[in-house]
Amino acid sequence: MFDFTAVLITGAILGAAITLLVSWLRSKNIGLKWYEWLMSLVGLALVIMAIQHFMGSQIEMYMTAGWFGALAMGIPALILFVIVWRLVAVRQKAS
Amino acid sequence: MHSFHSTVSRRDFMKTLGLAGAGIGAAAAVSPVFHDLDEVTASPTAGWKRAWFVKEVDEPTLEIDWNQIHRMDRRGQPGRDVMAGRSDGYYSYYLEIEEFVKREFPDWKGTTLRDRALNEAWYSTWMGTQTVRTPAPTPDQLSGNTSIGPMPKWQGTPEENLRTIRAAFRSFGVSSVTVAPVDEKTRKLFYSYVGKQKVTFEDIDLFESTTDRFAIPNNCQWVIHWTNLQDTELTSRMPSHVGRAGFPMAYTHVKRIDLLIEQFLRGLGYQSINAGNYCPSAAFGIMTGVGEHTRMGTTLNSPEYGSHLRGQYRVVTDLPLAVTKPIDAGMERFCETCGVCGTQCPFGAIAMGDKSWDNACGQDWAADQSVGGDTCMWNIPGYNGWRLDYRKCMGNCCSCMGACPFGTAGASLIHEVVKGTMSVTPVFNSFFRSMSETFNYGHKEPESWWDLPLEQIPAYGVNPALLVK
Repeated sequence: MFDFTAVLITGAILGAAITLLVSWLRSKNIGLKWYEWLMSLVGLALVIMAIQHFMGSQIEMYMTAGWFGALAMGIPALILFVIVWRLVAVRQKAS
Repeated sequence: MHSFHSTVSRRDFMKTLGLAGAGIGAAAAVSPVFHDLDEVTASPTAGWKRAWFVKEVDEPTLEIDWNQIHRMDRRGQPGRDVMAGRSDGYYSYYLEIEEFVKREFPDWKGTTLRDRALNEAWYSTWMGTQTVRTPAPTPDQLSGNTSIGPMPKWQGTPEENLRTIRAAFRSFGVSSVTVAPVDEKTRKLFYSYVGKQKVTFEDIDLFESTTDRFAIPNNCQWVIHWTNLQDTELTSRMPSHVGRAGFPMAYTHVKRIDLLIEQFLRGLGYQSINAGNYCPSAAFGIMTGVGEHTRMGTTLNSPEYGSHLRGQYRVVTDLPLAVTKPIDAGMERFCETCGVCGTQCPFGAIAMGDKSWDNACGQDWAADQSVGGDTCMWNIPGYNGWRLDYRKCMGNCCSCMGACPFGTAGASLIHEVVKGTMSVTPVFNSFFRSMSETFNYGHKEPESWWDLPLEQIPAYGVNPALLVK
């Protein structure tokens, strides 16, 4: 079950964030390797799942589960984003 | 001008497109294809669209040896309190339950007057007599002054009829509607005697019920199995006194729904035989595919509603209906690994071992009153499953239902991922069980119910996420 407003707001925020990020990458002339795109997409999927789980747990009224799940999916997402950032940063520095 | 270089080559892009196309094609190939709207209406699945991991099967996942199944003779079957040797009945085990709850929630202060008042309020109407003010007219009794005058009974294909009763029953508050045929197998599930009434199947036109006879006409060839959802938040606070209010609440709704169903089928021109007390609920729930057998024994686990189904009722009718099949969603297999309900049973009534063909109560058919013996079977052999020990179970404690990992409303998609995975492989079941405990699913502190924001106490008590499944 989805709370339509929450989905709309989450989608708008994520959409804006991704648009800004891609624009920034283009402005800096930074290209991503295929595996960096893959890791980013997996990370993004995990973030979306973490948000959905957290909101779903509110509906289920199991908030401990909501926090645990959000952390369980959010932390790996964060790790993936950091790895991608470091890979890009190292490559940029080398070039 | 900024230049942006994609690192995905055209060849890789086309390959990905190809894979995606193949995936969509495969999905389309296994999806039902409808050529027009009539076909959609006529399809039983059009009435209840279930998740992909709920697979219809010809035989239930519960292994049944039909040669060992005989009709149960329930004459003189003692109540649970008597079987447990608790002659002072309902309240004699109440203090034990309080101690049990305090072990899980040490800060809980115990039952309060408002807890008790809520519980007693619902018990006051539990299965109470509800009456029909004016019986619904049968089709031939309809007044000629309206656009719908006297007419023959409703006619539809079995599929259309199933779709029709599903829609109507949902409006009455029912969650699921499934159907079994009255055949050689399912007749064995009907009790042979209930109280003084002998339950028979006879070549008569209309149902007859007297003090010593409950006669089902042979033209009534369908058993409708319908379910009601128990209050979600109270269930998670079982077995406390406040939580147990969900038990009589459910049966209060059930009694009202019973009447509505009876009157609706009457309005269509068909018979409605309330057989709720004349055959077991879980058995028909399994046969009709609402859910699967569980370690709890008499409680079903449904892929949609988890352990929240109370009650499950049966109506025998002559309205032609499409039969629904048993399902396999890996739920019974999950119970083999899980056992949370058993560890959370205050009285040790739930079997913690493997499934068994034995009825685990020391009784056998040879000594049963149906064949001249002096015992009344209360658990039967003939299926490879778990049996609740009625000598220990107090019936309305319901701790097991509140503890079951399938007890959430299923609003988080992670539950669908878990259910999908466990329907395919049992390899992760132990991990899922551990995660359920780590995530703190299951029982909630009883007193917290009173502090819930009002928008989290939905009308009729059922989480809205469950109502739309």
